[in-house]
Amino acid sequence: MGLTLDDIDKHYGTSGKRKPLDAGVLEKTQTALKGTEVKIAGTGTIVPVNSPLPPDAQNIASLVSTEERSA
Amino acid sequence: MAQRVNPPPSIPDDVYNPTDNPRVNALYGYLDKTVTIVGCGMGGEIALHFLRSGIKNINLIDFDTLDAGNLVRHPCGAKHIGKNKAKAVRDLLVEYSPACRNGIKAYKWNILDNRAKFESIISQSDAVVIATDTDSSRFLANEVCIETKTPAIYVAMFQKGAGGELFTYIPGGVCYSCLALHQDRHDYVREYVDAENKADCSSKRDVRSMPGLGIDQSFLAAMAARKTLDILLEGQEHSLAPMGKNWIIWSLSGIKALESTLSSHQFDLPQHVGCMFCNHA
Repeated sequence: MGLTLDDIDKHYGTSGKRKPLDAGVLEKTQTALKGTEVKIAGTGTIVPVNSPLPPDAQNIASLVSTEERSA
Repeated sequence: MAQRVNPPPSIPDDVYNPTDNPRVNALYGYLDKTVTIVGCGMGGEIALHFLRSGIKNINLIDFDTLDAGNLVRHPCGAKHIGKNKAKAVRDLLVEYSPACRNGIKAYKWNILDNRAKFESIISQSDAVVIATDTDSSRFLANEVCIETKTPAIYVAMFQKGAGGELFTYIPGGVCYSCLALHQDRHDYVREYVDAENKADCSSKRDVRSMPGLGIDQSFLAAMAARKTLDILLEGQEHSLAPMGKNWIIWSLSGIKALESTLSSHQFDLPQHVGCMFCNHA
């Protein structure tokens, strides 16, 4: 998918500091790393990448994404 | 001739102490835990559930004032109008059980403006209930709960009370930001992350219409309180069956995701690969 540790560094930051989401990197990361585990370069942090959502959960997640929320 | 009603005799403070209630004790015994509730609208109803369930240490946080329009859903009555919501709920709980007054604390401030104070309170809590109506406050609570390793329950009602959502964060696991990303609500996460001052986005409310009635809210409040009990009872002998997975979608009168009435879907969501909060915890 063309994903490199540099891409992940751009997303997560080599110092471990959080950075704003980069939609392009995020998309590549999501696509390439589902079901795996990755060590973030420069930090040693292990990012758990769990299984993708089951289709029924993904469907419901999409459907409720636009719900207004109150309490 | 009308029968004369005598005024009630003076009621001692300890006439009802939930922590000594035999029914509570039969289910799980003494529950010496501290719970913090952020948002004292629906949170007020949840607080009352906690008190009746034997939790006597409750922190209540809300910057808002109770007005007449809130009474359609709020447990506090007309005499509390004009009070800060957290203080109104505290007064209600103390009225319910004066013996618990020392453990119930009310804080009138916005967590987005008082992160240090919020962190201090959360770090001493066994669980946190997030019952606010802005995503910025939910994301801030998410950050703090991850940092302090504090379990959290997020509860929200959908438009017109047709249903709602309950999400549970357990330290080390999937967080509220993961939930938002799974729901493709990247713009909400991004707005929060990008804001240098998190309070700047605190005025963005999700709600643009009436959220529902008290009877709609009560289902979700009870579910949130019950789910919190599950967390508090972890490691303690008890006879309550565990309730649900980490994400519960509730349909009262039919929602887009779940057209059946009085039904639910629940899933154990995984962490989201793009989450920049819990993946660094």
